[in-house]
This record gives sequence, C-alpha cells and structure tokens, in this order.
Amino acid sequence: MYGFILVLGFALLSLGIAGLVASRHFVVMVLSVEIMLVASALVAMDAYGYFLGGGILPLLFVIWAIAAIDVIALMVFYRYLGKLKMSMDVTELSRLREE
Amino acid sequence: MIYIIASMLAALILVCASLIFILKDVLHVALALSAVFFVNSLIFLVIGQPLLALIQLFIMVGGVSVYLFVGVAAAGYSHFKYTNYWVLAIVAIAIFSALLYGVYLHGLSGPAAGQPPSAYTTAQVAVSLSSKYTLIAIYSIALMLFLVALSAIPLLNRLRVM
Repeated sequence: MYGFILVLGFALLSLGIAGLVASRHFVVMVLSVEIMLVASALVAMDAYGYFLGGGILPLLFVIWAIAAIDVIALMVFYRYLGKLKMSMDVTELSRLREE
Repeated sequence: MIYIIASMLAALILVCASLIFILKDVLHVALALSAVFFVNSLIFLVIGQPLLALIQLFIMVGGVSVYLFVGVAAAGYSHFKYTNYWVLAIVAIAIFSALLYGVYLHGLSGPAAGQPPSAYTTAQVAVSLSSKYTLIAIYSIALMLFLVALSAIPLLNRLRVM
C-alpha cells in the first residue's frame, strides 16, 4: 500500500513539474507548485515515516504552511495583474516593465 | 478492498490534477485544485492516517481553498488555452519514468521494502512537538503565515488593487 502511495506521489510530482513547464498561464503555473506540494506531503509521509517515526509531522506542517503562503502570494499578484488589466499569459508579462 | 478504493482515489486525484491544465475558467481551475486537496485527504484516511486527513482537510480545503475561491471569484477572468498538452504529457511521463527507475529499478531500496508506519496520532504530535525548538519553529511558521496574509493587505493597497 505504501509503495503505491509513493508511486502516486511521483505521478503527482511529475504532473506538477510538467504543468509548470507546459503552461503559460500565471495562475496555473503557481497551482502546479501546489500540486507538487500535495505530492511532497504524500511522498514525505510515505518515505520518512520509516526513518523518523512521528518526527515527520513538523515537516508536514511546514509543507502545508508553504502551500498556504503560496496561495496568498498568488492572490496578491493575481489581483494586481487584474487591476492593471494585464493578461495572465506569462509570455506577455514583460510588458509590466513599460508601466 | 482498500486497494480498490485507494486505486479509485488515485485515479480521481490524477484526473482532478489534470483538469487544472485542461479547464479554461480560473474559477473551475480553483475548484479542481480543491478537489485535489479533498481527495488527498481521503487518501490519507484510506491508508490509515486519520489525523493527517483531518489536518489536510482543515488547512488545505477549509482555509486555503476558500481563500482561493474568494480571490478568484472576485476577479475571475482570463479564458485562453494556456497549456501545451503534448509537452505536458511528454514531460510528465519522462519525469515519472525517471523517478520510478531511480527508486524501483536502479537498486535503491524504497520504503515499500520496510514496514508501513503506524497511524500518526495526537500523542505522536505531542512527542514531535516535545522539543521546545520544534515548538518555536511551528509557532514561527504560524506567525509567518499570519504576517504574510496581513502584509498582503497594505501591499494590495499600495498597488491600488483594493
């Protein structure tokens, strides 16, 4: 069962990295990082549970805290870009330098 | 039976994660991410980690997803095809294959060879947090999270968004 969870974590991690590479939408790119954080929680629970016993819990708290901060930062930039009527296409974000 | 349920949940979480790159409306994308968080907590529950499932549910679904909904729903726009599906599939399969090769085929002893960890309990949380330094670290994380959220307000004001 736990090897299965490790494979699932790998699959989610791969999907997150691939999403980061293949997308050019600002929001989706940040949400790809969220998927990677979900995968890291699964893999961390699966892998480190064998070596550290209950010591993995603080690491999981850190991972969840990073995920929460990630979303807060995303919302700040999302609202900012929305206010400027900017496209969410990262290939067009270079226009920000003209502001 | 547990394997069947876990397999179904694994398929579901991969579908929900893929929907993030397929859907065009940002609000729908946020919904798909919330579904990922929710199914992830169900997976924790199925594999016998109810404490992690509850924490995942409270933090990620209850807090982060609701915040994401409010933010996205308040300024939902931008519909365009943003993902190159071929690149997504090729990169995902390549990285997944490399990870599997490294763990299972290249002689590295993965966790599957050992004994599965027992379910984390609140007692283990207390053990984990018994060191005052760990406790300070956890409080620092909570404080940092709160300060980031709080500092977002003057930042948005400065950017003339709010």
